[in-house]
Amino acid sequence: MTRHRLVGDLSDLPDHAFGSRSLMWWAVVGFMLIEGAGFLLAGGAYFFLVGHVQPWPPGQVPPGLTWGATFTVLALLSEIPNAWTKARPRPLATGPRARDW
Amino acid sequence: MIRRSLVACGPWLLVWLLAGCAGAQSALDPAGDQAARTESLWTLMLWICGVMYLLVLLFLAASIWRARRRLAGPPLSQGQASPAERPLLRALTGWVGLTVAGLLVLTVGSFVVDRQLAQAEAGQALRVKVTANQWWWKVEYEDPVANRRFITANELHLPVDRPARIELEAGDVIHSFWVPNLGGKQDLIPGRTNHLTLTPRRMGLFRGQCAEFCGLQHANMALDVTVESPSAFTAWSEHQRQPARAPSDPRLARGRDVFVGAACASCHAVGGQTAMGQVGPDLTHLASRRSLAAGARPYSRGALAGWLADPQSLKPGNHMPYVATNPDELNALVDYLDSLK
Amino acid sequence: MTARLTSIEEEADLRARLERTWASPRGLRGVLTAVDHKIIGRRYVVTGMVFFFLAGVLALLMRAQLARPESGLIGPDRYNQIFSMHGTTMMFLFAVPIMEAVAVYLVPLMCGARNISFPRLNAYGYWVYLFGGAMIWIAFLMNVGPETGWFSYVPLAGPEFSPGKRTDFWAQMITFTEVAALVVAVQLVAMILKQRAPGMTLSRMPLFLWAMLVTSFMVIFAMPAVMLASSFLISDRLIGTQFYNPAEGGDPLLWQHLFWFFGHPEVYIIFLPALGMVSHIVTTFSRRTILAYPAMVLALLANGFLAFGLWVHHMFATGLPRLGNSFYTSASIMIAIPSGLQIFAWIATIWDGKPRFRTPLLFVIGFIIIFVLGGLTGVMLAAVPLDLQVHDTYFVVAHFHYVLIGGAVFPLFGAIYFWFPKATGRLLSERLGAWNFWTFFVGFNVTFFPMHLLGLIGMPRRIYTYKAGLGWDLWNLIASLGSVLIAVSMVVFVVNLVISLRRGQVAGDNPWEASGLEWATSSPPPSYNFLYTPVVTGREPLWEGEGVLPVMGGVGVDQRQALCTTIVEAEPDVRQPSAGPTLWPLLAAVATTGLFIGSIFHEWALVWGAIPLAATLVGWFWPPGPTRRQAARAALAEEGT
Repeated sequence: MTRHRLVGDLSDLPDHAFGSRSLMWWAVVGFMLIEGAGFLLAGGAYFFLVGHVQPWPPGQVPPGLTWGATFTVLALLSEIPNAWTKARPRPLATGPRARDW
Repeated sequence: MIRRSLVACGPWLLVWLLAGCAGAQSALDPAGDQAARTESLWTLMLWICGVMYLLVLLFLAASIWRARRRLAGPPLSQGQASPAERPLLRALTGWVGLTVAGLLVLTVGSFVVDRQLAQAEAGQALRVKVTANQWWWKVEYEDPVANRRFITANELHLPVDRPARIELEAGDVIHSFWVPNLGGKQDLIPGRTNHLTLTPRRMGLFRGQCAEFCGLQHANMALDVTVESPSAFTAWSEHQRQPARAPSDPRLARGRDVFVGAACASCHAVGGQTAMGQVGPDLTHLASRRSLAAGARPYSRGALAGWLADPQSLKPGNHMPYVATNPDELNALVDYLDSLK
Repeated sequence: MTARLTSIEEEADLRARLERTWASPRGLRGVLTAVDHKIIGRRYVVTGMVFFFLAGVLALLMRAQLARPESGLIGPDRYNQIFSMHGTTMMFLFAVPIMEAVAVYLVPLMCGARNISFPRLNAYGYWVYLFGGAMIWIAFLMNVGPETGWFSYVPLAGPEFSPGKRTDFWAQMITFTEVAALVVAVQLVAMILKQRAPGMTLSRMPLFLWAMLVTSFMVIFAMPAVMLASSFLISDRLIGTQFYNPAEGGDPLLWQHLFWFFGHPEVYIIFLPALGMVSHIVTTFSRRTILAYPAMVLALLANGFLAFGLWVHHMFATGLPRLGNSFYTSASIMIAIPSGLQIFAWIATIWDGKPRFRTPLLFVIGFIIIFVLGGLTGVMLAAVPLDLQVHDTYFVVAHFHYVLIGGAVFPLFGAIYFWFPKATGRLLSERLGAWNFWTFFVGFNVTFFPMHLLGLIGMPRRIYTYKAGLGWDLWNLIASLGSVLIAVSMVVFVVNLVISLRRGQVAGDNPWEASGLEWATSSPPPSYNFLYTPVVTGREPLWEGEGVLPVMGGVGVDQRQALCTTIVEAEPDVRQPSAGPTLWPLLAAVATTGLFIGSIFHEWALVWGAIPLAATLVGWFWPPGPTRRQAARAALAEEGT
């Protein structure tokens, strides 16, 4: 049975943090790396086909851009609530876990 | 106990190694330049890797053996010194150095053989084009003179001592052309043309097999390879250039009529006839081949009859449909095809 | 504060309060809502082992068919599905998930933490893995299983030559399992970098944590490649894109590049965690710290980096330029160097230690003997001329089974025998363990060693039958007999598990006298893992300090709280809330499953399926606790009383 020797007290540590001191930051960065790797590889696939196929672009009619453009616009718009959420957190006077809404 | 069993394994391994490696489809029985050079690389690899492996096993065995004489005591943590630490770290460095040296030798060996294989295309190479389909090989012998070209299927004849440059294309999915006695393999990929050079040095009958999973009958996509003297090869080529032997009696003529009438001609060509299909193997000299259906059966009249009666029983899933004929028609057809030597 | 020993009473009080805070709900609710990494980790390991046995049965069927030439036991269609499912299950449903599972169980304990970094995400990842695995097996049992091999080359797997939904189920199963693996990878990176026990600097970090850190980064960069490849494939098959169709501007080799860019790191993703396990077993049973720790860490890092530069060695026969091939030969041969270093260091540790040959160490010895042989045949395969002879033959089958079973499964079995007492409180039987090991070792070699020769004398892979008289008959029969012995070994293993769970010797905290933090708590650990936050002063924490563990208090007791420390020096930094049991991860996994399976059948499922998923994510992320107004009102009410 292990005996314990108390050598310190951690209760003075802050109970929340932002930026890379926060665990959530690491999760988000992790997912960004994953998505980024995916986009890089998609780009690689594109240039691979460009190099291997004559003529480029293939086919007479270029592909439609509607859905791709819609998705891009939605992705950009999603930055608005992100920015708003980022601006909100500030030290709260009414307890460690109180929130605004 | 471990040490004893390791020692006991040795002789068994030796026996195994000396067992039959020869064969008609064996990389360990080279009959051509490419296979021979690869086999010498294999030998180099086997020796060096074998020695490295033996060293690892000996070190392991020694460390286990040493355990008998170890006394109990407190475990050794970080920061505590062991008298053997420095010598072991030096040995580790030596080991890494030895590994690097061994791997360098193998890398250089690999590069040397790779270059040799690439330089093999000297002289008057025979040109052959192989197109792989599910699950048969179309083989076309090229020639600058158009009427000296000819087509066959599922067989390859090569003159000894002359390089053959084989152009590789695929008709449907990825296949792989491999005749181990003569050389390594190369894939046949739709949309690409690959090349392989083989220089046979020993006459004989060999076997190749498709080596890239290509669907239901990948297991039954073999290739009969015959390496023969230049004069025998010339004779065979001349014979292949001849159109199909015309039917010499009414029975054979009837068979030919069945062939044309019962949809066979929509897929198969017989040289000298008109309006023939190219979807399936060329049958001009079918009866002179060593095997049927890409190695599925050795050729014989009986095998041919069985194949025609129900192609799906021999190669289930292959693309040749069952063609309904009555027994009399079937017999005539078999006779006709059996006459196509 | 001055250091002092804790008292029995304060520990008892702490124990009760922590148990109240951290206990998972019981019964069905507990099963569906638990976020305890130990519960999820155990489930994950059991599920992975079930898939291992299922794939093993498929292997027995394959060997039964190949025992004799031209056997009519199994026809080509069924056989093709069987070998495809065997490979797919082993690689995607067993090998990677089981390593993730062991990490999910062990990493928080080794870090001295109470739970994994993202408990709900952990639960979600497990459910997604389970549902994906169930999907592909149900498809297989309904005769809609994959039939084009575990790496499914196009155009064979494309819409023209693989009609129906078989390949689509396979491609979407990949999405399930990759999401699950990525989820664990992100958690482990966050945990290992930010949540190690105070004092556990990077240079004191256990080698299993190093291995999982490198593995997790490899997962993050490699998995997107296969997800992209399989998405392109589904897209070609479902909505008529032409990524892989050369007639319309695509290229079959694009699939191979994308798949193997993932596929080669994949095998190192499987292999590296096993190396970490081996280090722990060797350390414990040699009773000395690993020799050349810094070199071992560098070897893991080197393996992780180099693994990304090798993938073209799977494509030497496709007609790529020779100069390019030569580069990949060099890289593929070079990666033997870090592995060679590690092998030496382990043997040297045994040499210099005081070895005790318990079952875990037996499996490590088996690993060394088998894996090194496999690694050497790998060096052979790296040479292009030799590869062109033996590529796609049984030589390769022998090679990868030697490196995968030797390099991953043997360490895994050693790890199971090693950590089973920690997870269950009981030791596995040593006697049955020895039988398990020897039947597995002998059976494995009898099965796979002859395959080297079979490849060299001409036997290609993935053939459902072969002609008699080619010289292959005897070796195939021997291999098939060996597989029976492996099956016996697995039966012994399961018997050992079942018997020991009930009547095994009680383990106690640290039956092996090991040195890691996970051995500083009870077996099995309580729901809260550790009473206090352990403090680490060396690489082998429990071998220093003579039975007394330095700890810190102060992390929340009546609410779930986790400690974050700094990356390099592991100084205490922040306390953060840790999520408790909730149903949302399961609901989100169900929604994800609906989205993925729906998109096999129609592309609009991607849109419609996203809506329920979004709803479950909103529920999941809805912030807990009172609003500012509610808290202000509550504070006012308190003041008033």
